[in-house]
Amino acid sequence: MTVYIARRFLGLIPVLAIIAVIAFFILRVAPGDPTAMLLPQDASAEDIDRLRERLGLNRPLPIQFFEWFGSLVTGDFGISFHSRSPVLETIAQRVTPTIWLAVSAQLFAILVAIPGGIIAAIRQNSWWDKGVTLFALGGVAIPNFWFGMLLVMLVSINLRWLPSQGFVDPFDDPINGIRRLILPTITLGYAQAAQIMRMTRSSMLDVMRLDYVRTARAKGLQERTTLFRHALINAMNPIITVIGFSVASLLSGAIVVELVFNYPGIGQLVVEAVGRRDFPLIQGVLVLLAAMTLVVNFFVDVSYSIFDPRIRYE
Amino acid sequence: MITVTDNVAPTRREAGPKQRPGRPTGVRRALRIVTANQLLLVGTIFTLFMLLLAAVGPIFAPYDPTDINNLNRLQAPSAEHWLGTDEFGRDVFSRLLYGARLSAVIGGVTLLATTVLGTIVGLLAGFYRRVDGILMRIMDALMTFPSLVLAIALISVMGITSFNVVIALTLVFTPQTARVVRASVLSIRETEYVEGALALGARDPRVLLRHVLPNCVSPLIVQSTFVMAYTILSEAALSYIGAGVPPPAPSWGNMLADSRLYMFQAPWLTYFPGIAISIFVLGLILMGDGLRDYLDPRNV
Repeated sequence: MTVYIARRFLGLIPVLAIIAVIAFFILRVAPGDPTAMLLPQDASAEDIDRLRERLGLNRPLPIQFFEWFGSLVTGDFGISFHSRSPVLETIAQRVTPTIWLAVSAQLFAILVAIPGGIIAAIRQNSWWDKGVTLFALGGVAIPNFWFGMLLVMLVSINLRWLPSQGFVDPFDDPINGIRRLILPTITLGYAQAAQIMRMTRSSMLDVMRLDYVRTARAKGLQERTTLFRHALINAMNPIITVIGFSVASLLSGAIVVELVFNYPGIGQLVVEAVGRRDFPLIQGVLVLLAAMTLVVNFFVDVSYSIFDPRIRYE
Repeated sequence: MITVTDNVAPTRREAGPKQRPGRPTGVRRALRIVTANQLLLVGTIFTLFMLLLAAVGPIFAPYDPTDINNLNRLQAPSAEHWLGTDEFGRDVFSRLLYGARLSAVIGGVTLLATTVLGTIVGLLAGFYRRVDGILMRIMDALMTFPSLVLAIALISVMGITSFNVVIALTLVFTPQTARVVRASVLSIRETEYVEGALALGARDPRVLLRHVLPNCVSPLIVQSTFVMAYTILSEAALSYIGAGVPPPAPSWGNMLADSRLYMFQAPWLTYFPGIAISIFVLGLILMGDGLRDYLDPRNV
């Protein structure tokens, strides 16, 4: 087990390095000069040169990359072009709302999707199944930001039940904080639930056709035992895979949903940063978000071996 | 009522032996396959409807989609303006029709580009072990970025144009196609006919194009419906954020972004573009699900 985990962990390093390369060079493929956004329109050529030198933009790209990458390895994400404060600090100030949103949406999704998918699978072709399947199709096809707008119109504007704007840390003010979190959570969680639900249903259906499930039934086990001990455990790996993969779409979705609900998280930070061509900040956000996805998928990989011990010995 | 089935299709009533998928077999056969599978039927109808709107809709549009008329601001749906007018007095129905064309074109071009790129990467990675590691690590790395963040970053440095939206979305969706193709190639590589072709002295490009590629077509078709669906969703989200098709082009995402300020006064501005996106995407996804059921070898 330890060897397996260690091997997986070492496998992350090259991917992380490639992530850093992509995050750095993707911003430099275009001819646009970030200093244009930092200086007044009538800035002289000398001013521009001076600023380029101060920001290190006048040096060859490979050297810029290795300097940035070298400090990245030590946990230094550089200095923001715009605010002149450390990138990591800027991100840290904005990350709490996004983490609240992402975690609550993913939890909501899992709590809705796994029971829903199981019910749909054991009652295949029933009205339950059709309802679950329609719900899941809606979650995949409806744009999440539009769903959020509809919720705002219905719940906030017409019914006046919940606020539709902003963020309050639930640790500071639990009731207000949670009330403001409900609509964004449902908006983001619905699309996530749809993906997980589709996989839960089809994975359960696959497993329930297998011989050992028939055997379990034939030897007279209670249906509940058959379902949970024999079917669900073996259906878990594809479900966990989807949960892991869905982290990237969770973070993508969070960016848009934050804009719908005027929610001061990473999404707004990204939009501000790209508007200002703040390269170090954009790079930092890209690397951190990708690393988050990578780490979650590392735990997913490790958890396979819990549900299917054969994997450890491959 | 739709009977939706994911991987199990006990309802398929197809007589006759199953033929090799991916071969041209005539309209009548295509019709029979489509009508035998309700998922595919509903999905195909929705998709064809939206593609038809994209192709001929603008011809029938009652107004110019960018025609500003301040006297007609924010009018509710009426006989004159079927779906109402927006804050500049532009006709929503006409804009919706032009928006269908924009979505279909951006979705279609992105689909073509990802299929070509993804197929090349997938074929090379699956066939040549030497490049497999590095190519797939790059694909893995691209997939760990949240797709929209990567697309926003790319578009904002390259400039906000429809063409750059296509480039960014191609980069974002190519890795998935590459993975699908690679997975098929890995198993096809081990078959006797590939071994036989190589033993006869066929060169690699010939084996790849004549023997390996045709057998990757089924998963590729399924994948392409999903790519198009996600492209349409992503384009709408990018336009909503302000990094998509530049206004005043009537993209559905732009229409939704503009409607934000008028959700209370003019809710129809919010309803219709969202419904249009949902129908298009739903059609493509149902089609993908239906095709996957049909092409799944376990369902023979």
